[in-house]
Amino acid sequence: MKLSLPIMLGLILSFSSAQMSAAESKMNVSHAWVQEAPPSAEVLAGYMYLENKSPQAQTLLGARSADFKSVMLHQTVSKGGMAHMNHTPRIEVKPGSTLQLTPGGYHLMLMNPKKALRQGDQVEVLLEFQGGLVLPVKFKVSKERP
Amino acid sequence: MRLPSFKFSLIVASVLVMTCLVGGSLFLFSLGDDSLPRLIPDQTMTVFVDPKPLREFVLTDHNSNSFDLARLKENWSFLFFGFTHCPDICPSTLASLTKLREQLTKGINGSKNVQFVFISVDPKRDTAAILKQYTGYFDPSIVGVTGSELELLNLTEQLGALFEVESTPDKESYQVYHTSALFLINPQGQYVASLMPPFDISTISRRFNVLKKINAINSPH
Repeated sequence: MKLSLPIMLGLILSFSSAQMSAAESKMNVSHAWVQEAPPSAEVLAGYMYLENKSPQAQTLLGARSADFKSVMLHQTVSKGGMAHMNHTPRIEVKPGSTLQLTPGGYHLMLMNPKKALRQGDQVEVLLEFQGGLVLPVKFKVSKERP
Repeated sequence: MRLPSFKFSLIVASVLVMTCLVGGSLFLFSLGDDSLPRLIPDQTMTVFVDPKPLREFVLTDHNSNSFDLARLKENWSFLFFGFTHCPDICPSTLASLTKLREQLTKGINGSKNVQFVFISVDPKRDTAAILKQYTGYFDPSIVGVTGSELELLNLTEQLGALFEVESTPDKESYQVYHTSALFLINPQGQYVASLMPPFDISTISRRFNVLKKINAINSPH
């Protein structure tokens, strides 16, 4: 019952790519971008459109990225005339609908970038959905909404 | 037979009266429209019929010079309150202000006397040097300004702008809550309008140009 290393690797790779395509078939992510901020900025915001192509609700539970110390799901809400930024544990996308994450609402809070990011740079963020699906998404650093 | 005809004439009479009233008001409206620029209130910009003169206040700009009421005179000023550790609203608003400045100042008919002021309500972290670096990154013409809590309140209370710094003395990263509106001050140092996001540049610049005409009529030099 000894499996050689190449076979093991092959099995792992085929499993993870199958998982990835399952996630891709359910969720389509577009307009993924990070608002460019001065190099001194310790926190950046990431936005995207989350399209749920499946007949079930899909829930984003978290995100991580090798380019940042940590990533959190956040929502800016207006309370008593002031903008508050709240941590949100989950972002649900209804079946067959698209949720737009744009400035002033839901966003990924990208904390402590490992390097200064300029317009045109790309960062990869892994989106973690309920059910164990992980979707890698490339975010483009941009001055304005692409 | 008489009653219905009486009713009918009543209806005819009221229709005639209505027509005259509507026609008359349309006539008045079009007269007003031709002779005076006017702004109809909308979701983006709230314009005050009577601009509110601001009282003296003193803050400090990103070059460590004082930024007071005199700095608002002779210029149209768009004021925005925020802080540099703000990832969502502040960078997107500053990016909008950069585009708005380009739009308002371009061409030979562009406004020469417009300034954009970013006022940090987080003076503990936002020093003059940090503000200069931050605003300069978006647009070096944006003036970064801050002051002590009391100095800030001297201005924010006049505008009805709100801010609150989360009190967590032991924490490096604390939250700052702030109004997301823009405040427009005319060259006479009067608070004339507030603008709410999302900021649509072409709508704002169109309305700003009408506002300038109204102001020129009300405050001739």
